[in-house]
Parts: sequence; C-alpha cells; structure tokens
Amino acid sequence: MREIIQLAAAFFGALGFALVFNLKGSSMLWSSLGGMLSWGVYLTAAIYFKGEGIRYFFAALFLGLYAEVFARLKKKPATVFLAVGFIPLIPGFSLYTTMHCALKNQRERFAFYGIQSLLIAGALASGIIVSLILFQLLKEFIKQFFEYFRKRFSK
Amino acid sequence: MDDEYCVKLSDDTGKLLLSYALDIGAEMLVNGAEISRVEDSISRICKAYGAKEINVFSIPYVILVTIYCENEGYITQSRRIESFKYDLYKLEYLNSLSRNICRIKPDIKSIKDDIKSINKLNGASFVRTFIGYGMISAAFTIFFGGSTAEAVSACIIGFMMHAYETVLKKLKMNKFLSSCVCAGAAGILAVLFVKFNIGESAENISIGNIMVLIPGLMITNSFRDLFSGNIISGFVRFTESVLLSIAVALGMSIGKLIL
Repeated sequence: MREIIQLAAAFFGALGFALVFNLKGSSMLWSSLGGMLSWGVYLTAAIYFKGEGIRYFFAALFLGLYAEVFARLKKKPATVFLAVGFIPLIPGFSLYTTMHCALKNQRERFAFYGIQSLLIAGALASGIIVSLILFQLLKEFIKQFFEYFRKRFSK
Repeated sequence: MDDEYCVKLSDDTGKLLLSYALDIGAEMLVNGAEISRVEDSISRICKAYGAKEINVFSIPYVILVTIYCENEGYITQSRRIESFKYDLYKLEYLNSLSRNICRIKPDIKSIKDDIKSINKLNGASFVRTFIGYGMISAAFTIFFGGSTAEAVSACIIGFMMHAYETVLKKLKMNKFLSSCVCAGAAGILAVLFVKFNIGESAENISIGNIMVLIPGLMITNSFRDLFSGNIISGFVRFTESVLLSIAVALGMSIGKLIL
C-alpha cells in the first residue's frame, strides 16, 4: 500500500515541476508519467537487488531510455522528459539530513548520509551515461540494419 | 546545392544570419537546453544557409561562433548569458523553430519575426507556478512518508514560499543567498506549524519544501553535458547545482535551529 501511495506522490510531484517549468499539453502528462515509472523501477528492483545504489542506477537507466524514446516519438528535446522525470530520484532527503547533521554536530550521521547522497548521485550519473550509450548503440544498430537491407534489395 | 544558398549569404546577410542563429542558441541556453543541443542547432542553422567552416563553442555563460562566408570572410560574434530562466515550453518551441529553419530555409529577414514571437510567448503564469509549488511540497511530503496533516501544512508553506520568492526576485538578490533565505523562512514556518499542532514532525514538512528549491533540471543537464564531452560545462553546472542545494539545505537547517 505504501508503494502505491509513493507512486502517486511521485506522479504528482513531477506534475508540479511540469507546471513550474511551464510544460503544456501531452508532454506534461508523459514527463510526469516518466517520473512515476522510474520510481516504480526503483521499487521493483528491490526484489532482485539489496543495495540502494544499484536500484537508483536502474531507475536512472530506465528514465534515460524512456526520455530518449519519447523525444524521438514526440519530436521534442529529451530534456523535457528527463528533467521532470528525474525529480523523484533526486536524493533530497539525504542531502537535507547531511546538512542538518553537520550543523547539529552529529558526525556519524553526517558521514553516513553524506556518503549516501554521494552514492546516489554517482548511481544516477552512471545510469544516465549508460542509457546514453545504449541508445546510441541502438540507433547505430538500427541504421546499419536498414542500410544493409536497402543495399541488398536495391541490387 | 551549396551554390543556391550561397546567394542568400551575399551582401550583409552573413552577419545577420549569425546574429539570428546566436539569438536562437542563447535563448535555448537560457531556457534549459544542454550544451550539445545549443552548439548543434547553431551550426546546423549556419550550415543550412551555406556558411563554410563553422566553429561553435559554448559554455553555460557564453556562446562564441566564427563562420566563414564568401563575401564577408570570417565573422565572429558572441553572446553572454546573464541568467537562466527555465521554461521547457519555450525550449520545445525553439527546438521546432530551428528544425523548421533548417528544413524550409526561409528568408533571413523573416527569422527575425520568429525570434520576436518567442519573446512574446508568456512564461509560466503566476497561477501555474503557484499551484505547482503547493503540489510539489505536498506530494514530496507524502512521498517521504509524511501524514496528511503534514502534507497540508507543506502545501500552505509552498504557497507562502512562492509569494516570498516573487518578492525576493524583485530585489535582485544573489541566487544562492535568495534560495538560502527562502529555505530558512520555510524552515521557520515548518517549526511554527508543528507548534500549532498541524502535523507532528517538522522534518517531514521541510523535506517537501526543500524539493521545490533543489535545482533538478540543472543536475540532469550537468550529467548530460559531462558525458557528452562538454566537461567544462558539465562541471560548471554540477558545481553550481551542488552549491545551490547546499545553500538550500543549510538555510533550512539554520531556520529550524533558530527556533
């Protein structure tokens, strides 16, 4: 039950950012849906993986591919889908707790949450980079594929 | 094919073309495009009108372009970007505009009207951002495990933050300071709300409000810039977003420790 509430909250949080960023029409809906689905990936990855970093990695990877695919489908920049969908993944909680503990002089919690936010940021970055590489490979592959068939049938 | 469009670059039009291409690029950068998109659009537009040897360099604060035209030789122009105002609708519009320019290749003077029409597009209206702030705050309070009462108070604080931020924007305060102050006010309000028994924990309320101020778009753009080869821009944006989020978290905690 908590997961379903979280998914709905992720959707509405992303929708709020879509409003602030002045998105209009269908891209508002699709970009916020991307945020919800990427959080869904994070939650389902928990079945297979225990580590938090790898779950964030898969969520970011999914979101990157989602954004690239929708950018091609809707003929809009990928940033539109990526920026809004990325919001639920941003480690706001651990970032805030890190600073709070630093001010309250709780060193152990500060170190714990500091490392956690760094870990999540690294995982998100690597998710994005792998999605970029995968998508480029896929694009190249499809291009070569069609090229091959065109040559073959034109002869 | 090239010769046909070189005719368009006769007389003084090379300079005009370059300045319009730069206007479009600068406008893209302001509205939150990544560097590779800006550089790509500018060089595509210039190439479409038959300019030779196009050198584009851009970082988040400046765009620098040199092209070679047959009549005018080398032309260099630059644009300094002072401040960012993320507006993804404008970005979509600019993207399709630059695609259209490359495809249809309209008369250079008519591009000017297109650029004027971009500036006429309204930014995010007051109502949209107002609702957006409340929605983000409430949604993320629930997302991080807060109760309904806490979500309601986060929503109200979100509305207040919006009003506060519009005032701060008019003062033209430093970006880091203004988000720090804004977060501090939100922290104080969260503690006050808990004192009046709307919600149990101020932490849960603040976490919703903090998400409003954290620069999510800048973080995603910095990752994309870093890994598409624009290392300088990626680091500039990454550092800026880290500093901004530290400022926000700091302001929030200071606000809470005061009370």
